[in-house]
Amino acid sequence: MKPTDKTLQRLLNAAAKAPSEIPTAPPLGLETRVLAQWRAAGADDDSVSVFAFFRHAVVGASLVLALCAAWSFNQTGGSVTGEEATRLDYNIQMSLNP
Amino acid sequence: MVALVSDLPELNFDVAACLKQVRQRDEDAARALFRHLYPLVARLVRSHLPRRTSQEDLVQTVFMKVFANLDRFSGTVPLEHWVSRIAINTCLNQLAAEKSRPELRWADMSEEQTEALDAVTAGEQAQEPWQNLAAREIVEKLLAQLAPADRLLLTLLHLEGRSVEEVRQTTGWNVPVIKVRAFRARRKLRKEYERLMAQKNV
Repeated sequence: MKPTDKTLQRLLNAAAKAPSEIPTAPPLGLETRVLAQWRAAGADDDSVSVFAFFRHAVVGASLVLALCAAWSFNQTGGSVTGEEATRLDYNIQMSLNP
Repeated sequence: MVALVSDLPELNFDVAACLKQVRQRDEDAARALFRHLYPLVARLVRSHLPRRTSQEDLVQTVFMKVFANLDRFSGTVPLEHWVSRIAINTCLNQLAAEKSRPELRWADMSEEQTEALDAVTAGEQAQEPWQNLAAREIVEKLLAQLAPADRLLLTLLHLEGRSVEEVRQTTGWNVPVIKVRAFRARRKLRKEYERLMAQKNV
């Protein structure tokens, strides 16, 4: 070991022995600030969850609307075409007229 | 040897129950958790504090990260280890943001510091508390000239007396990385120390 290494090690040993003040109580106001930020973060979380709920509701409603439209199209479009329906409607109206 | 648990004021603190209540947004539980962890966080921040940063601000930043990520804490490691890692990484990022590293010159040292250094170099062990404090100040100034990771590592190993395993748990680095980095960091520290001592002899 070099002499420099020895003296450096002695310096480090002396530094490690330095009494260090162990903090026990937080400074005034720090606890209040941390808890206020924690509360604010919680409020942000709530608004985010409400927004997510509405977003899911809109997506769900759109899906139901699309399914209803598809079902309705299948019900009407599958059996009678538009042109045929018009002709049938015309015939019914003519037969009902005196 | 500095054990993490020894920094905690209440040894019978029920961490699991407290965490459960904090997750349910119980403010009293959040306050209790803050008070429980404060000594640990404050000591870590004080040991690795960048020059231009307020200790209080950094402690606040660490706690905000702890509370924001509490849902990610799985409980597989002790809470204190998990919080220590957050505190250490926060300090490391803050140290990395500090661009300038002022050079330590012999002329800038106080009379007490030079006296303590003389005593150490003469082969005497500094016995008086003021000598140890002066030695600590010199070492901190020498460490401030190293890269943040090197500074952090030497502080943990040589000033706080942590074992390599404890450093691994605190930093998340693996053992070979810690050993190699510690060797190189110590070499850099020796170079800075030699440069300082060369000024004394001029």
